[in-house]
Amino acid sequence: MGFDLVIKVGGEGGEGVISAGDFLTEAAARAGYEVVNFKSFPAEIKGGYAQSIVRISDIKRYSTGDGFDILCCFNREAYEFNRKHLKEGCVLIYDSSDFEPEEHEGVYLYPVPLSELARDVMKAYITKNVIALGVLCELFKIPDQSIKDSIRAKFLRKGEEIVAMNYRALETGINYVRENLKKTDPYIFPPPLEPKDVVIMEGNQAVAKGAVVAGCKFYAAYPITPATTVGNYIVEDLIKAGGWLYQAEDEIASLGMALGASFAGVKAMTATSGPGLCLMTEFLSYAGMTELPIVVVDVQRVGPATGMPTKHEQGDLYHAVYGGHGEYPKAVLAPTNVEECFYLTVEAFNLAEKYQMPVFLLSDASLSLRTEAFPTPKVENIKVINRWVYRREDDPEGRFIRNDRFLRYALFTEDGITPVGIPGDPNAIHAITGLEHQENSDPRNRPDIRTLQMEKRMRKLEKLLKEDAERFYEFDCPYEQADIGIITWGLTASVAKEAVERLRSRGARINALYMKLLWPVRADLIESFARSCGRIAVPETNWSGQLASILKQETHLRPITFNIYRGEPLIPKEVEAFLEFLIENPEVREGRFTAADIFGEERVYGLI
Amino acid sequence: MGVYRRLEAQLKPVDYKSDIEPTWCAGCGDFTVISSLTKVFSELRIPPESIVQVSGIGCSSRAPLFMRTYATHTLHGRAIPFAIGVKLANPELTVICNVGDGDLFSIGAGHNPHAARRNIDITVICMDNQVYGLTKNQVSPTSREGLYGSLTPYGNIDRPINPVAQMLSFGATFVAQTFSGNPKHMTEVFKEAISHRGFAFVNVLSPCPTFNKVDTFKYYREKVKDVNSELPFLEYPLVKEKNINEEGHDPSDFKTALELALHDLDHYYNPNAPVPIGVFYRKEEETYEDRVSRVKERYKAVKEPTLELLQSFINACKPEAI
Repeated sequence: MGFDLVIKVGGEGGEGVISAGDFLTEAAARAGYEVVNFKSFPAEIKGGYAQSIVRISDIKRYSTGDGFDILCCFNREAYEFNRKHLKEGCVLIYDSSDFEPEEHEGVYLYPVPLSELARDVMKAYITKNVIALGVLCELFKIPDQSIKDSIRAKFLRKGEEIVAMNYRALETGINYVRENLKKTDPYIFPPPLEPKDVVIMEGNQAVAKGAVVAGCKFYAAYPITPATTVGNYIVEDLIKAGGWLYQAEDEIASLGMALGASFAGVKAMTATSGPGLCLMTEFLSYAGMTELPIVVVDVQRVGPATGMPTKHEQGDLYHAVYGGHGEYPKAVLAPTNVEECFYLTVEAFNLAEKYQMPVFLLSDASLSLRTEAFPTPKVENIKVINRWVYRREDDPEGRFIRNDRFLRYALFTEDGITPVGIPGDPNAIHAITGLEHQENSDPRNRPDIRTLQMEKRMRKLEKLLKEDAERFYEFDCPYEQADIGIITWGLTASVAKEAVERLRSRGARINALYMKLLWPVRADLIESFARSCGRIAVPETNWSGQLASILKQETHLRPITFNIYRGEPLIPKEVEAFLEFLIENPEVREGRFTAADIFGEERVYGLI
Repeated sequence: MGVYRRLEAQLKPVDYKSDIEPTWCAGCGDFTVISSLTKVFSELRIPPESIVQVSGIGCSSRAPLFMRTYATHTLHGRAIPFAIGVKLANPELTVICNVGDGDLFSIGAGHNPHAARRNIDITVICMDNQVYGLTKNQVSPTSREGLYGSLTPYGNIDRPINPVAQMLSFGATFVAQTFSGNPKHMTEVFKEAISHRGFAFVNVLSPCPTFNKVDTFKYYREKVKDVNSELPFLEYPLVKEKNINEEGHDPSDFKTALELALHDLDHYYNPNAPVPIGVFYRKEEETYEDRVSRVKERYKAVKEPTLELLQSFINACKPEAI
């Protein structure tokens, strides 16, 4: 087993817990290690419990693991939340000016009066988190130069004095350890590796970068947690690349504007979260009817209604797949990690342009905030697709012109895809309407025209299934006949990967399918996967098992679902326990299981 | 008004008409709107391909379908956001919203303040018939009190809003009102509105012959009075009222514009009050697009990014760069 260390920082929102975690993440990536970071905080500006978990390893990890090795508590509340997870061999660093912990057998304790040092030595309470970083640096030999680089990058905008003050805070932490503590634990930050060519991005940042690379030129924003930061991250790059971000008056307007821009010929997107997606629904249906390419990012949060804005859930899949009145073609993509947030955003644009329809990217609150290091994408290797724009010279026979009218919705193409006319082109003047229309886009509600146009639109999905679907299914099937086949999506897929690895190393025969295209569904591929497995298990972080239901609808599968809905992602141990439960109970062939069924009284386990 | 290029040879108004015959009731005020619009397109020599007309839902919103320009018939109340998207994507296009009173001041009321205050260079033409026509006779936000509708058999108990005063207060840089019974006036007003650089709003008093038996052509003919003496007018008898500026109102005077606008609904309560029409307000001001160009300059924006530029966005996330 290689190097694998999880450091967790907990404290009050606004105390710099999140940025402390970010600094550690950057230090690990600079030292050449794989790193994954999970953050969570309450939906308040200040106050409440915030945490940041940083997992540093020498091989690629997809989740932040089951718990932590080192816990640094900025206050009593953080300790109270985490004390049940303090197991033998853990380290606890705590603010001794705030509280004294109980006895924990086998736990290495380091009391540091963080608040006192910040108040009395530094005369600046806000430096508490950097003092704590100094403590971590000195105790575990984390290269403090790297932390200094991060401090400089983050605070330079505020002036040299602020940078110098934070350097002093770091030294204060380091000196306190040197003068007052004796290291008793075995954890040491490893020596730096050969640096890798990686980038560090947050989930929403990866979406933003992917969009600009895909050629997005218009972004309509309406702030909503946790989608807002896609806009924050995209705005400067977008302007430099000749595009524009418009802060709309509401979500209805933002999708309307993005569609207007799309009609005028540019690639456009908007990002929102559940409640905003609800408002956009009418326009989604309009985009389907008028065949406008559009990318809609839904960073899922806990619903219904305003739910828990900063917390995790995979609850909007139904809305993405079934949202909108009537039926229209659409595709739903879901990344499982930050790297995929980048690449699937490019794919979302490519699918939207190729098929002229709305494409959803379903991210979620945890993924949006998670930081990950991954190989630097090379722009020249990224394939970018643009829509089929009508050009008179490519149409010598005038197939797309009849009676001097441009046939935006011509019926004779085999795949249902027809060229778009861009305003400014005198050869393709046409009107689009949300009413059912004939080939030249005039409104008509004749049964024959309705039937043919409906078939034209939906035909696009057949092509998508044939040409594009397969590459979004990641099969991991080492066994010709496995006992269990696990199907997952979104962040749960990342967690499941680790659980599957652990079980396989203990001899369990498990095949896995990680789905990144959730709609439309390639029933044949999924059914052939299912044939290689005795039973199908689908863990999800929602109440009803939304992917499982869609699979039930689209295939012959009858999955066994595992549903957790506490506002946090699953952890590998939970998926592992669920799969073990199935292995121990071979008579279970289908049904729905919750944490209560597997863990009983301990059902609300989770990360905090 | 952005255009790709002016046409060398002038197209006839009929060249801007589509082959779809309007489905409106005989005597509908909206007929004049499309004939005036096509006339203005022709006179201003705007190529049909550089016009995008965006509409919402309702009788009025069918208008773009009867014309031969690029057009989108969107959702109820949502023409303005869609039009903004079009304009920002390509500022060279001439963008016009054809909307109704319900569209603009009821379901879509959240959008027009923001387009106006930002001075986005689009023209919004509201065909105001004081009633919901396509859904067959319900009162609208501009309906007078007491009007009977299918949902108000007891008579409308709501007070109407004042479109002209509202748009002035939102910061529209061009605000006018015209009347379907006077095509000449309407054509002049449209011409000014479309030529205006910035957000232009025109309220068209466009009577519904089928459902609104109160606010009819006859009613308005006897009541409308132009606020600007320089506009060609008026073959109808005028109501003498002191509040209407006899010398002709100067549209650069915002205060007087607002004062005049406040008389807009007086006739609902005072049978002797005139209905003011004409250009209330006009101001040349920096448009949203102008400000966008300034920001883009500051950011050294390029129209088509090179692979190197895109790569630099990604490389900014390398650990050594952070």
